[in-house]
Amino acid sequence: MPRKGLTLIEVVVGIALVAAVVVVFGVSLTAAAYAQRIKLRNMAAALAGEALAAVRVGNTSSLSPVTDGPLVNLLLTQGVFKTVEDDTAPSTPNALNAATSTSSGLTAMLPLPADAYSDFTLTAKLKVNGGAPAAWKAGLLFRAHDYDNLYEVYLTSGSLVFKKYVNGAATTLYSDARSIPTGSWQTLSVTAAGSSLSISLNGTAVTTLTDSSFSVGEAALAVWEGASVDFDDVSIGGTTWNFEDAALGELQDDWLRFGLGDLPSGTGTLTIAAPYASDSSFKTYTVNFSWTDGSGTTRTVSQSTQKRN
Amino acid sequence: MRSRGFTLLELSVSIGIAALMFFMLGAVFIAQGRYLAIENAIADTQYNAFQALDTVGLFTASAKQVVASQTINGTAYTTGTSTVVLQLPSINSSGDIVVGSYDYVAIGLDPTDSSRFLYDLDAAAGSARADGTFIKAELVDKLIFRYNAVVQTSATAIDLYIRTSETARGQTIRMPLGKIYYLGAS
Repeated sequence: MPRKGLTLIEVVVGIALVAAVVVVFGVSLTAAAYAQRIKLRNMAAALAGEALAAVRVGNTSSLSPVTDGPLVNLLLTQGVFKTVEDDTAPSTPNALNAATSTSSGLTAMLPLPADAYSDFTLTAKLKVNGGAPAAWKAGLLFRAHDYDNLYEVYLTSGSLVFKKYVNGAATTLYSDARSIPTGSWQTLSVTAAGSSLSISLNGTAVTTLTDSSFSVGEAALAVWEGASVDFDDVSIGGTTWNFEDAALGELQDDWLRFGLGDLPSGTGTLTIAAPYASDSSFKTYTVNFSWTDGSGTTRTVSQSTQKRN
Repeated sequence: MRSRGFTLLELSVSIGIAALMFFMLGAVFIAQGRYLAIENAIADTQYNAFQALDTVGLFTASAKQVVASQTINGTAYTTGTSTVVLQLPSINSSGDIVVGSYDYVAIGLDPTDSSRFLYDLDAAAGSARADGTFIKAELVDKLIFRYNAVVQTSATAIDLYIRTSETARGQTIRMPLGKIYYLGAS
């Protein structure tokens, strides 16, 4: 008996069926990825709108043209902060871990719950985890208005440094040499009372000085150079957070903020241009917010405004 | 020519292929249903979060100041982390400000259902604004108002954090958003 193979029509129908299945599945996957991309783009657009609003209401007379400079009149969370288990934490079992996917400059920053602190004692226990880059820095920002106007006090592997930034110009108010090993908990404390600013480390007074550049602003936990740092027993104005109430992997409710940390590898910059040579007071401000999507592609949202000083 | 029926082997193979096709098609459509549900959840959470942002923007743009507390339409509202109470210059039907007359609006979580975001407005006599409570967003998971002054009533800017969430096919979709609003600035 002669064997009979598939007819051409059977082969075509079979291929068409398989192709239809693949197409439907592919469309679903693409649509889901697109929805996620739109979501992140809307989040970046919201951040861009916020950054431009801050430009419009702020004093911009001291700003000079710059490409991809820091945002002004605004502090946005950076990096990823989450509650983790740390058996060495002063208040066991949990601590607040700061990490980031970037590796230079200020890489993780999270403001304390309120937007304005004036006079206070701010204390945080912190531990730089093993594997940190040699140039690690970790500490506190206070009376901060934006990235270019603030006080900062931080530890490095070999020093304690206290600085201020006024319109981007850094002044070291105090520094000393000391050995800070990774893996050890350090208690860093700042007391601000009017223009009197005091720093202490592990309960020992380090310095007290007078400076009246800023009287009020945000306070924040800060990490530089991509180090992984655990914070615990953070207190300010009589309120203490030991991060025992938050679920692992989450932030305590009152610390939640919308910022760069909500975008995967999110960054935000401000470019200032003075397009009219005859009128340098008239400037164009462009904010760029970038993130990395699931395919590893860097996406950017840009928005601009113009303003006279 | 005499026609021949299917052999048992041909029938078994055919049924096996058909079963495989149904399995593949079923898996595809189940996956597609899951993706569709997640896309809907993303759209829902975005819509509601932006509705809340738009509402706060609408009122802060015309607000004179933050007030500590106010009873509006029979409910006492206090400015804090989940609610902000604003004083708004009244406007007439032409859109002009009515000098010396103020409306009050409370914006924030619904006191009876913390997954809803509302505003409750008390318009002064002669104001063109509409009195009443209006639900503007649902699916609210977290909401925090912050103020750029130690004393909230001295604030010139309000920082809103909102997170909406919806669970679709076992996966929780979250939409965090936020914005700083400057009183009296559009």
